[in-house]
Amino acid sequence: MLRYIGRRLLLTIPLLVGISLLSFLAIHMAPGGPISVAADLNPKATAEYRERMVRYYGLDQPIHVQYGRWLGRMATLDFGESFAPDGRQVSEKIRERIPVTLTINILSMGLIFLVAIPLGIYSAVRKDSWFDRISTVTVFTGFAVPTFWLALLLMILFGVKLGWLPISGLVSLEHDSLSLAGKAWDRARHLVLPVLLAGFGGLAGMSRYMRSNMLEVIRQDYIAAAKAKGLVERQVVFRHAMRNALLPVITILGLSVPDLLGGAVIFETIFAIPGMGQLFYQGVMSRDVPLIMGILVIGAFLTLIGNLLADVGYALADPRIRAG
Amino acid sequence: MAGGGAHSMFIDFLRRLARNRLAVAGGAVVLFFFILSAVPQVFSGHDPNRIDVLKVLQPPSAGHPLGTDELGRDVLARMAYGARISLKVGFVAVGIATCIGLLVGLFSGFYGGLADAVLMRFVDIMLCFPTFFLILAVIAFLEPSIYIIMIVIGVTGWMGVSRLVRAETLSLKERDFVAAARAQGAGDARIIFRHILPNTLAPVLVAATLGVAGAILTESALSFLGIGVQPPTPSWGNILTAGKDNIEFAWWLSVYPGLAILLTVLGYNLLGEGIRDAVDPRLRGR
Amino acid sequence: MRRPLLLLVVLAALAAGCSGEKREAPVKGDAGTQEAPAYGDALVEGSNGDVSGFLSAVTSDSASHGAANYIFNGLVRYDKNLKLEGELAESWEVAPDGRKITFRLRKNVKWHDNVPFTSDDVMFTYRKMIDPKTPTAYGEAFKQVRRVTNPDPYTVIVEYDKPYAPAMESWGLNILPKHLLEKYPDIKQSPLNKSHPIGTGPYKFIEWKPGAKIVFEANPDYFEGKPYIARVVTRVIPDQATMFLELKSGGIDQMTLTPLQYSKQTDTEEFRKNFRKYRYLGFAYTYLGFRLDHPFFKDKRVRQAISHAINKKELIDGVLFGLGQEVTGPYKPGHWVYNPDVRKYPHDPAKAKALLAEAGWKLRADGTMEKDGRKFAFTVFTNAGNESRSKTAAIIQQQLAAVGIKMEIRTLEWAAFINEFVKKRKFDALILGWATGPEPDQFDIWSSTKTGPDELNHVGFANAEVDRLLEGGRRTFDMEKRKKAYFRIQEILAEEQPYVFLYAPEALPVFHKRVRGIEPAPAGIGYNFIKWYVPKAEQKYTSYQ
Repeated sequence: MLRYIGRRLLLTIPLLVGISLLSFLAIHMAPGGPISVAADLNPKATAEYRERMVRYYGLDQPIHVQYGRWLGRMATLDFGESFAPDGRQVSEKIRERIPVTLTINILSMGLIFLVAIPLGIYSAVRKDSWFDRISTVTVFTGFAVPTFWLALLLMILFGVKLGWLPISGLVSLEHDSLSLAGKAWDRARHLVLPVLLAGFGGLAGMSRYMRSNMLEVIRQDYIAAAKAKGLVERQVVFRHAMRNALLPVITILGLSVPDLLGGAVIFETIFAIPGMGQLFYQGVMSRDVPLIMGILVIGAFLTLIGNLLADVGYALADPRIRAG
Repeated sequence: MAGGGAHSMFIDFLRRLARNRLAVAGGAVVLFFFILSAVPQVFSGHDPNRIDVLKVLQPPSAGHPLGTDELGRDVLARMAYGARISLKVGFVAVGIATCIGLLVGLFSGFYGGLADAVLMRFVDIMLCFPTFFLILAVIAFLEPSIYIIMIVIGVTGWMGVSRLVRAETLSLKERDFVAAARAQGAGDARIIFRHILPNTLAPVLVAATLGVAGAILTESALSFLGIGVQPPTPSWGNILTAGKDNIEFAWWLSVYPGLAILLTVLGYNLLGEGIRDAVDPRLRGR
Repeated sequence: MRRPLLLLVVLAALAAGCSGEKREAPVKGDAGTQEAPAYGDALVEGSNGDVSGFLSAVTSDSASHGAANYIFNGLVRYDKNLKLEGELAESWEVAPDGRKITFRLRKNVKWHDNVPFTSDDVMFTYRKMIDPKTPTAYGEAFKQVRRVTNPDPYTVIVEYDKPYAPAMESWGLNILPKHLLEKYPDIKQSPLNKSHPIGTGPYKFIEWKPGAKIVFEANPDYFEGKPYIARVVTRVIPDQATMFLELKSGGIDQMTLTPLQYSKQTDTEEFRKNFRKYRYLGFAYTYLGFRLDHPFFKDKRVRQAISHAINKKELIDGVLFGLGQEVTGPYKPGHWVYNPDVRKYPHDPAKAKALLAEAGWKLRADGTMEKDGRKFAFTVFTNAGNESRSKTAAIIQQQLAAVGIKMEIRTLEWAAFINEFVKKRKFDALILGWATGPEPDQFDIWSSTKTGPDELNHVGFANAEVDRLLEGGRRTFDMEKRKKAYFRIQEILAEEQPYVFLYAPEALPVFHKRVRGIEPAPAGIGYNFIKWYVPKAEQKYTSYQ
């Protein structure tokens, strides 16, 4: 097992190098290179910025040396100072925002698993039934509805009309004066809508994947054999088919990381959640190159980690890979 | 592959597709909005950009069946012309993504070796970046014109297609008809484009159908962030975005574009799945 | 949006914010009730943008300036009637030749960390404003200063080479604590700017959760008395629709409404029961500016024709729902230098066509104007994320089409708009706005010496008489002389039409009804903030104080 993980880790190295190279080239291909971008934005400090940028990117060095430095800084997650008026370290800004985004993503991924797997299995077992059709339309609706529109509709319903849930933000003002249980409850109430929305949007991918895996497995010979042996359908489904259909689902976990991160831009903006998506959007609007690059690289890292975890999880669950 | 065979295969395909009620419903929706975008003037006699400040935010009426917007423009006309823009974004973006994906996939799968390794690692790397982040980052430095939006969505969306096509190509190039063509002296280009390409099109068509839906959604998300298709050019995304600020007061400004996006994306998805099942049961589960 | 709320602030930005702390006004309960003012409760305000720092000298967005105004004071400020009055300065006198101002400072003022405030702090602030290491956009006024001295801890003497009328206003800048900032060569990089500001103002800084909220607490030792409202919380909510829902659901107590929300969405019984809306004309106007060396717009008659083609009434109805006023020049109606008798351009398409014909433009069969084989088509630029401006552009597009002029609209993100097009002068025309203030000096906008890439006369207006008048206007403290100069400037601008001056929008704040003591005045509403209160019985946040 350790050997497998070790090999899997080695495989991510070329990807890491690729990510760094691609982002390095992107900065240097921006019209005029990094300096011009910086100078354009800060007319009042052009000379000072120019100097700082030259130092930061080591622009007086040959290009391979520059890349080497960029690689070194990336390894220590040093993305330089944000171009935003506050001029803070990009890594610091990302660090204070990333837990929120990750929490919501993990929760919504959990929700997707909880709902999509039974839905997919049942749809497959009852293929072409009304349940199958309705669940198909429902999960695709989740994918198809513009997030910000549904978000506002839910806010109006649950926040304004019914008054059950807060509209936006992460905690209420009185949060700090609440008891521990009160704090947890407060936080949970704020997370309901964003997690629900992110989950609803991602349901389609997972449940359809589960459904078609299940269909494939059901068609396999050994299931027919099991049925022929006289096992009840329920048992066949749960004991034999499900385990084999579930395995590949683990890999889709890793693949859904970039989509969830991308979606964060929208729901963090509409729900006023100070996460990485909102930060990225602000960076984009003010052409904050260090911030944009930093978040892109971090986003890619997270995806890599997601893929890695998925593969390891898959290996843990599937003895064939573990042995190999 | 004789003509008659292909014809009867196509009939079979249609028959299978017609049995799938959801796919038929999806297809009907797709068709409806397609017609709407082709002949918007049939649906509304109003000029979509005609401003009338005396008729701002009027609820649906006989004169304006879907009401008017915040500048007194006819919402039906804007929806109909907006359909054209939104679908155009979807189709052109997916066209670009499909072309790149096809070329990369065919090349990579057919030649294999170092080129394949490099290209597929590049695909792996591209897939690591959250697509929506990439789109935003690129648009930040260019201008959110409709063409840039189409190109950027296309250029960041080809990786899935290329993997699909590569896998198909890998298996197709070992098949007898390729060997036969080569024996007859066909060059690489001819084999790739005459013999392999047509056989990869079915899964590509499915991916493209789903891709159109995704691109329409992406445009609406960009519009929400203020960097989608720019007003006064109507797109469903920017009509909905303008509508969201009046969501409680002027419901017709958000409900219609919201539903149009929802139904269209849903339609393309159901149709795409239906095509996948009907084309070749073998493709299920991919 | 979303969006970084950058403003090009021309003159000192302390004019009409929603914050700021002003002196006693007679407090009376609104709506006829007479509750006694009470201490306590919190006021939660919604803001589109987050702050970028707390030292207003080195920030330029409205959110940051709003926050700074709770924490810091200037030597002077505008009172409710826009007269300058002392804040940290108890009094001042201007020497007869206008070249020397002597400020006498308040005694017993303390920084939030209990260190006494003295003239050393003023000296320090001045030095930082002229220090090239300080990245400030507001240094210009202080470069006019010849010398500043402080003979004792409570006296500051400022000397100028020439009389400089905007000088008084410039001393409204936030005074910085020397003892805390001394060791930082660049104050922008100091913790006072980045994380925990310390000032002399009515509120103390408590915490800043980036992207979420900023919390302030009433300063019990404030030199004008402890403010009634115990806490102020600024919540960052990027989306306008979300913010409005937060207001309705009780998540925030105050926000700025859009004209549409004000006129259409707040007219319900339910809303009136819980909220009170205010409207007043702020110091800002929107204009259509021409690049004056553009071949079409070089000709004055063309600019005048466009002014006649534009129906400002329709703009105000369509964009502002009537919540604004037409403007004819750079000063709003009611300003002390506002000149009502300048050339006006009533909506008159026939006259517009006649003027165009005079300038050599011919109407073609397809209804478009043409001259020397060129169609009259141009592109107007404006910034994205400002709904009023994009609507204004759309309406003007239609109005100009009626006289045969084709106008394309390009909406650009702020950074790209300013850096790629405005600074590089790569535009035909643009729709923008100025946020000005009570001080009438607009040297930076209209002087022919201010046309560089980073300067504000981006249309390239050059008029020798205006140059002279601008110089004269800022070199005297004589109100009558100044008024004459600015009256004449308005006449020339009205004749020349380098801009089509479109409209001045009203500020449209809304508050939860429990907040009392808000009294709109020429200065807006923020001037008596420390006297706002919530009656004991209606206080909402009782445990959160």
